[in-house]
Amino acid sequence: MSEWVNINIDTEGLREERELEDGVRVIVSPSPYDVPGAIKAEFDRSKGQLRILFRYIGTEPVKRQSGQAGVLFGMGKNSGRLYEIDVKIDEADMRELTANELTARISHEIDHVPKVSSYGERKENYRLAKQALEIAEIPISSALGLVPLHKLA
Amino acid sequence: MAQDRTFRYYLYYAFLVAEWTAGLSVVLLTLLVSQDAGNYQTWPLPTLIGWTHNHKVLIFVISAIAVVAKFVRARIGPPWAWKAIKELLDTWHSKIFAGIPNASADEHRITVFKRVHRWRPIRSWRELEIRTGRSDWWRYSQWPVGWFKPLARSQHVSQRNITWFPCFDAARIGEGFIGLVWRTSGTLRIPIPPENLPDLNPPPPNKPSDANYVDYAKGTRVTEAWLRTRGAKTYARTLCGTKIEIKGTKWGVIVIDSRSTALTVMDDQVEFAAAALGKFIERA
Repeated sequence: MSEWVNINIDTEGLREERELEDGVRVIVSPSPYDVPGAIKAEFDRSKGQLRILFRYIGTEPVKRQSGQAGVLFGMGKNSGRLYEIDVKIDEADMRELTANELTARISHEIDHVPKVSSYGERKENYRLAKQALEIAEIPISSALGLVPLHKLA
Repeated sequence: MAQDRTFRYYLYYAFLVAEWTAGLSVVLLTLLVSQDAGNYQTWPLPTLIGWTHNHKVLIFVISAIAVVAKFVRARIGPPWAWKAIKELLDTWHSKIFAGIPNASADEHRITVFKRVHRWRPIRSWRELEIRTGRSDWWRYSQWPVGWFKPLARSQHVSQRNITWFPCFDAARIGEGFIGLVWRTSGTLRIPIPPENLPDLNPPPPNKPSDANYVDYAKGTRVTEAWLRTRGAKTYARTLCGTKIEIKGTKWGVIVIDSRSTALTVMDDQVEFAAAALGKFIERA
């Protein structure tokens, strides 16, 4: 999966009603800049490193941040948006993991993204990035040669 | 075509001409000053070379003019980019309001606001007391941190008479719907159906009631007193807005406002406009 795969996240379903300051009631949907429009997975078998990249409508310089268990996050320098994740995948993982388990593991890592900018945590963006991972599970699994769980069933 | 040739258009090209003229003059003067007048007999070269040797400081002055002209031109932005932004808004306008029969340009609008420095609109400072409803508006702690400057609006209406809004660093009455969008993550829409913003432009001879003004002011984060000073302006009944970002940094706000209570703006429409506008604004 060295090509970008377009993904379509239905943000209309994510609209929510909120009461803001002084009782102003609004409908809020995710910022268009927070919604990944495409995803790409690159796997370096010799290093056992999987890199997931997210593409948005805007671009910015990316700053690398270390997370737990050797995971590297590429975060937008200005926005704190999640652009890249580097995960170590060893031979044992390759044998044992299903695609669903892999995406679940990466999603779990996204829950521990370090705070890098004045924006604070980009919870909405991280939630959408996790959703993008679920949608792109099959292309990611094909990049690694993993079997999606639903095919095992 | 003539409408495209605004003051900004002429200013841009005036500075472009100044920049090139100054640049070429510096090249020519540098070439002349490096020559020895004694090596040339053909008039007017010896005179010119002699003159440049006596006015070397001009090279520095003209170079500075070229640099300033380039800087100012970059600040103004190329006219093609602003024309493209305006045309994009017009095209988007016709798509978004396609479902409203005979939608007038003045009642259904898309406006791009840029967040600028606090000192830009000196005249708007005079309104701060009435806009915020605070008698201590002059205290430093109450000053806005910036303003939202209207840069472009769909269709050929109200291009010059668009209201600026103050930008505060915290929630404050007077910030308007724009301030709310600026401070909140995501795309915002008001009102929540089946609620409605009151109609402040009822058909004559009807007039809006005091309660209408109070409710409208509360729903849009402005003061009732300021609304009353605006007279016969158009008051939207549906508002949708999202931030525009450039390289991950907040740049401004785009607001779609309509007199219709049935306007629906889909997220993919907002995404397309934000993406296209962002690319043009980066080059403007």
